[in-house]
Amino acid sequence: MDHRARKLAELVEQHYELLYRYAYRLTGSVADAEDLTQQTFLTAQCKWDQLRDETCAKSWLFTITRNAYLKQRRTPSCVLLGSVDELVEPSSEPPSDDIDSEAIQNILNTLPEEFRTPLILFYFQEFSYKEIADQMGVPLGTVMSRLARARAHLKQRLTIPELAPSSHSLTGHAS
Amino acid sequence: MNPRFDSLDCTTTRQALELVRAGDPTDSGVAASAAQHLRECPECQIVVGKRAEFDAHIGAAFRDVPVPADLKSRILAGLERSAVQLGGQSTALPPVPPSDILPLSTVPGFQPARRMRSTRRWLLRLSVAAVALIGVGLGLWWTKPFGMTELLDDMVAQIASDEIDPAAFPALADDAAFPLPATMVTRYLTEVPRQFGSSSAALYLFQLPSRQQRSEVACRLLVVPVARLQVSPTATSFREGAPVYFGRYCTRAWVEGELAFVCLVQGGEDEMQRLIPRGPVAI
Repeated sequence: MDHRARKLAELVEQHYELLYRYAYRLTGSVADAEDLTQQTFLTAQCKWDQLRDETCAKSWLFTITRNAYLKQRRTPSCVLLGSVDELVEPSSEPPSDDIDSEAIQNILNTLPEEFRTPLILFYFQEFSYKEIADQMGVPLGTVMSRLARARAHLKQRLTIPELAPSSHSLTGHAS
Repeated sequence: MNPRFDSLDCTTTRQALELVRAGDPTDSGVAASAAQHLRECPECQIVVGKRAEFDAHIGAAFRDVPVPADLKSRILAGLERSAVQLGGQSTALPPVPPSDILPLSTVPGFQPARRMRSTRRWLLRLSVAAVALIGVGLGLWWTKPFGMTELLDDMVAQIASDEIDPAAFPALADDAAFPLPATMVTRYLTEVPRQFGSSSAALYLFQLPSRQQRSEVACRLLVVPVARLQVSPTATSFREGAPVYFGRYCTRAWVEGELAFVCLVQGGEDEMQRLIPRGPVAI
């Protein structure tokens, strides 16, 4: 087995679960998440020579996953930029105790991708702000700002369940 | 802000603690001051404590996604199959038990193999590799006359991402096939173009001095024959191209004759404006 194949197999072993969870949180669908995870490793296999530093492989795989997701979606992100001001301030009340995976997903589905991605990466506790910024190709301050707003939104949706979910809440467009 | 704690205010303290928690490098003096502030400020203790509790609660829910039991074996099987198609690396990955191989949604029709003797399995793999190579060759020969079209957006997104290092692409020996555009300032394009991926496209790397001349802005110019594109830009000059943002790059796309051009400038439209020629342009 050559070096590339051995490393790829190691990367699958180490990261496929986390990548699948990431893909699921991005897409909200089991089938799409499976496809996206498989596509990530197939792309990594084809583009292996573009990985300059193998210690950055995890970030590289996450970037591939996100790019593949954005490519599938084919929705220009600039459409969503005008809606940021509609994000709400954080509530002082703690969220209810019965938060489950599905409730989180319902709220994520209403968030624009620019806010959803940093939120997912942050709560996976695998990447620093700097690494999230590098993956998204935006400045560190932008990540912190988006994350603060997305967390505030998430907190309010969880605290006041009747607000969730609304496809108009952030984008100003029906999804 | 609590006036008792004048080394750092509450807002700065909470921001610094956030960075520390997320694993980002923070000035050790600031981190120490923030920790000191936290120890002495009851307000911050409450806020930071609630935030940590909230994040722990939400983080657990975020990660609560069951992973399909057979996913790993399907990924490995897909990679092995792909390696065979790419060039006969049939032993490239660890063998996957045939019982674990399930149909891949990305590879329709893929069926689990039956157990067989090692020699027969080898022969079968070699046969599959040979057939795949012939198939790929025939496919390339068949599609070449009709052109394999590509999406310009995908190419630009790839260039704008950090996934690739364009400087590693080979320089084009015959750069005459990719002339410079007539409707854009090109005096900064001093290097020979590079071949972009395996497609018949060229990528120029160049630097634009910032307005204050203190630094340089990274820029790219992609040149693709219109015939290779599924959809061509509608603008017919650099000036007409509408600015579109891809990651850190502001981009404009346009067509001149048989070639489509996309200019990528790191930063905003202000820098890009400097590439608009002054006065009339002869096309």
